[in-house]
Amino acid sequence: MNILTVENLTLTFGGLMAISDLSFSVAKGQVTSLIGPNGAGKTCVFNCITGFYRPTGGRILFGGENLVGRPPYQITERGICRTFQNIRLFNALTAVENVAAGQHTRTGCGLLRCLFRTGRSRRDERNVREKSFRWLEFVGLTDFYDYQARQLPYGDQRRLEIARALASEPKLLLLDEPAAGMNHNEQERLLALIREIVQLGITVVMIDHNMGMVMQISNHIVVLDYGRKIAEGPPETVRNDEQVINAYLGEDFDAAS
Amino acid sequence: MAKGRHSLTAGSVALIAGLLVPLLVRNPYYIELGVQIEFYMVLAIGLNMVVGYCGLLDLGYAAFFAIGAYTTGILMTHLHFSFWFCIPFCILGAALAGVIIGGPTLRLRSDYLAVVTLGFGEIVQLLATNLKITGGATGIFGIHPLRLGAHAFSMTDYYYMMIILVVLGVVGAYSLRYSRVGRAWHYIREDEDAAMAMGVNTALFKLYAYITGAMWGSMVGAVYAVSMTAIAPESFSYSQSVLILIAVILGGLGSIPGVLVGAVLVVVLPELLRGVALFRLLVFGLLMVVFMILRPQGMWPENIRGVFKPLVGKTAGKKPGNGSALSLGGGGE
Repeated sequence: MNILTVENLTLTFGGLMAISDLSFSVAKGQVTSLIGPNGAGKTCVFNCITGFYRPTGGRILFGGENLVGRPPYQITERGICRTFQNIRLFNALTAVENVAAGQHTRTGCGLLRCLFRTGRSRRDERNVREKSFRWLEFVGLTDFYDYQARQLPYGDQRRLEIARALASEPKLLLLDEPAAGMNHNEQERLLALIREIVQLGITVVMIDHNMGMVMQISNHIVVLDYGRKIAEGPPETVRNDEQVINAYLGEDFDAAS
Repeated sequence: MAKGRHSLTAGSVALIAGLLVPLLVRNPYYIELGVQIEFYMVLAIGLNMVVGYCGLLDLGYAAFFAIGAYTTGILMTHLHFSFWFCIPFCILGAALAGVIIGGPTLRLRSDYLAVVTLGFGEIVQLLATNLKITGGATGIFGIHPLRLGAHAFSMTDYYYMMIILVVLGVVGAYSLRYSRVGRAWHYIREDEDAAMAMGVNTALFKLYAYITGAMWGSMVGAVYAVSMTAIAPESFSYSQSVLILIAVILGGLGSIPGVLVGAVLVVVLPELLRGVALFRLLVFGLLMVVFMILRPQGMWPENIRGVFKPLVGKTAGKKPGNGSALSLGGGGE
C-alpha cells in the first residue's frame, strides 16, 4: 500500500527546470531513499511535499488527498514532518523545548486559553512535557534536555532534529541528509535509530549521499538526475543500473562498497 | 529551580518595596517618577511580547499607546463615557489597527515590519497633531480623573493602580511564555521556516503577538490618559517608541525581570543625569552604547532553562498552593 504518491511533479524557477515530470510512490512502513548528484532536485521534492514550494504542475497524494497548494502547517497537521539538510533547530532554546515544537499541531490552545491557563491548557502542557521527554529519550538525549540546541555536538543536533520531527507524530518522516557530516559511529547509531523509527510504523523517506547506508536500509530507491527520475527499484537493481552508475555512483562503486 | 526561586523572591521583594514607597516617601516628585517607571514597565512588557518573544521588530509601539489614550480622551470629553466603559473601545480600536497594519505585512519577514511599523507610528502621531477631534497640537485636556465615590484619584492612587497593572502584565506574560502560544512565538523568533515545518501557522501567530501587544499597549494608553488628565501628540512620538524598545533591549529581550529593570533604567538614568543639564541626552546615549557593548544580552537576560523540568523533578519543583505561571514552568526566570 502506498502512503504517498507523487504524480507528474514539475517545478520550475523561471526558465530553470528543477523537477520535471517526476512520479514515484512511497510504500507504507518502508524506507524509501531519494538519491542523485548535487542539484538533482532531491531537496526540491521535499520542499514540494511539505508545502514550502508550490509545484508548477503535478499532484502529491497523501491519504487520498492532494497536498499541492496547502501551506506547510496543514501538511504537518496531516502527518508529514521533515528535517533539514542544514540543521535548523531553535538554537537559543533548550533541547526539550525544541522537541516540544513537534506537539504544536497536536495541541490546540489559543491565545485566551494560554493566557488564563485553563484546565485544558494545563493538561496540554503536562502532555507536551511528557511526550517531549519521551522523544528525547527515544533519540538518547535525555541528559541534555536543558542544553541549548546550539551547545549540542553536531551528531546530537541531527538526532534532536529527528526527535523534534517525531514529536509531531508523523505518519511519514522526511529526512534530508541525516548522515551528512557524521562520523562512522554516529552513522551506525543513526542507522539503528531509523530502524527503530520504522518499527514504530512510521514511513521514512530519506535523502542521503552515503551509499553504504542508503543501500543497507532502503527498501526502495528513486534516483534523480537533473530533476528527472533516471531509475528506481530495490537497492540491488539500482546499484547495477548503468545509467545510475554513469550519473552518480561511478564505475568503482561496487568495488568500493 | 534555585534560580527560579531567586527571581520569585526578588520579584516579591521588589513588589513589597514598590507598595511601601508611597508610605515612606512623601515627595510627590518621587511618586510621579514611580508612576512613570510603572508606565514604562507595562509598555515594555507589552512590547516584549512582540519583539522579545516573537522577534518582530516593532518601531511604532507608541502608536497603540496613542490609540488607547486618544480613544479614552475623546470618549470621555466629547461623549462623557465613564473610564471603564472606554476600555473595550480602546482594545477594539487597537486590535483593528493591529489587523490592518499587521495582516498584510506580517506575512513578510521582520525587516519589512520594522519599516511599516515605523511609518504607522508616524501616521498616528501626525493624525493626532492635525485632526480636529484629537485637539491638534494642544491635544486633549480636562479628562476627568478616576473617582471612587467622592474621592478623586491622586497620583498615589494611580501609583497603586499601576502596580496592579504591572503585576497583571507580569503574570500574563509568564503564562503566555510557558504555553503553546508563547513557545510558538519563540520558535518563530528562532527560525521561522523550521517553525513552519513543525506546523506553526506563522502568519497567524505573528499576528497574535502583534495584536496582543497592541491591545495591551492601548489599554495602558487609556490609563495614561485618565491619570494625566491631559494628553498631547508629543507623548506618542517616535522617540517614545524607541525608548520603550530600549527598555526591552537594555533589560534583556524576552526576559520579564529584564524588561522591568530596563524600564527603571530608561526613566531613572535621564533623571540622575539632570546634573549635566544640556548634555543629558548625550550622556544617556553614550551610557546606552557602553551598556550594549558590555552586556549585549541585556541586564537580566532571558533564562531559557527550566521551561520544562524532567518528570522526576516535577513534585520537587512545584510549590504547593502556587497556581501561578511559575509553578508550571518549574522555575521561570
